[in-house]
Amino acid sequence: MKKLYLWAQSLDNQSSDVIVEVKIDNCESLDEVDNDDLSDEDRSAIVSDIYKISGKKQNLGQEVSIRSRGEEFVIEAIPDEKDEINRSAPVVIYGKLDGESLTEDIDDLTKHISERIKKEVKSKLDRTLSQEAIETIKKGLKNVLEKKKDIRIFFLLFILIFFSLLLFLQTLK
Amino acid sequence: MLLILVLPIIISLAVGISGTAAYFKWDDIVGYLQGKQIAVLGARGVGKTTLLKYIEKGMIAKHGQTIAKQEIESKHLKLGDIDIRLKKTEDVPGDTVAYGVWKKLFDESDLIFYVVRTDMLLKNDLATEKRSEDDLKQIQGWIKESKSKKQFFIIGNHWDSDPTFKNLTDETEGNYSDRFRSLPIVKQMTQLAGGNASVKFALGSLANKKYADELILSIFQQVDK
Repeated sequence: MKKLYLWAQSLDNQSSDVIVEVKIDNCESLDEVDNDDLSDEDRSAIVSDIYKISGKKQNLGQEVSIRSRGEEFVIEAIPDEKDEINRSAPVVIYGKLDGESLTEDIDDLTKHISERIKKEVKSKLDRTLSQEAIETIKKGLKNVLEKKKDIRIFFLLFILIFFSLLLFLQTLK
Repeated sequence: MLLILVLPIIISLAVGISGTAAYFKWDDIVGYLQGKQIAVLGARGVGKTTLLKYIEKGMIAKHGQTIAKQEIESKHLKLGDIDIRLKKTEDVPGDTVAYGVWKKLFDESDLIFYVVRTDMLLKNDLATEKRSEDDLKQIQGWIKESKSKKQFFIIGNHWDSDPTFKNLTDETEGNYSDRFRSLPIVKQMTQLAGGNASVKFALGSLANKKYADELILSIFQQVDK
C-alpha cells in the first residue's frame, strides 16, 4: 500500500474539511501523519487527485460505493453520524496500491486495510462506520486488488507469448 | 470517454413556458443553451446539489453532503414542450480545499452559477460574507485567465429562510432584490466577478417545486443569446 487518505466534511458545515494521511506498509502500520501536517496545497492536491479518478462508480450496497482506476481507488462510505442539517455525511477513502500489495495474501491485506480504515475513521474523523460497511469496503478492495492482479497476469502472459513468437520466427529464419 | 463526457443532460422547463415564450424569446435562449455546460459553485450547504439535481431530474429531494465526485448524468425528462440539452457536468464539494476542482469545472463550463445563502448575507453573517469574498477572489482570477467568455450568475438561495420573505408581495419583491444587491458584500462580489454588466442575479428558493421552477426560470430568462 503506498498511501491512504481519509477525507470528511465537517458536520457543522463551517469548519474546514478534515483530510488525514494514513501510511500503511502492507500489513505493518508505520508513522501516521495527522491533518495538521498537510499544507493547504497538499490538501487541495489530494482533492484534485481524487476527482481525477474517472472510473465508473460502483454502488456496493446502500452505504458504500467505489471508483477505481489502475492502482488508485476512491471509496465513499456513509457513517452513522449526520451533519447539522440532518444530511448524510459521507467519508472518502482514497488509496494508492503498489506492486508489493499484489504479493500479499489478498484476504489478509484487505482485512488489515479495512480494519485500519474503521479505526482511523473513528479516531481521526470521529465518524462511525458499521461493521456491514467495513465488510463491504473489504470486498470492494478485494475486487480492486484482484482486478489489478488479473491485469498483471494478462500483461505477463502477453509478454511471454510475444517473445515466444519472436523466438519461433527467428528459428524459422 | 469523450462521448461519455458530452452526453447531454436534458432539461425540460415546463412551467409557464408557453405563456412566456414570446416575451422571453425562449427559442433563442434554448438555441443558445444547446450543448452548453454549467458549473454550480458555492460554499457548503448553499444548495448546489439541490439545484443540480432539480435541473437534472425536475424534483426536489433531500441529499447528503457532497464530497466525492458526483456526475450529473444525462436524463430525458418529458416534463414539457421545450428541451434544453446541456452537457454532462459534476457536482463539487463546497470546502475551499476543492478550489482546484472548482477551477477545472469553471474552465470547462459556459455558464457559471455561484450559489450563496441570501438569508445569511441579509443577516450580515460575517462567516458567509468572508467565504463569499474569498470564493469570488478565486473566481476573479479564473475569469481573468479564461480564454472563453463565461456567463456569470450569482444565485441567492434560501430566500424563504429570511423572515421578510414571508410578507413579500409582487410589489415588494423588487425592493427585496434591490436590498440584497445593495449589500456592500454583494456589491464587492459583483465587482470581483466583472462588474454589473457581467453579473446576473437570480434570487429565490429551492424549498419546493414551485419556488424552484421560478428560480430556474429566472436564471434561464437572463441567459445572453
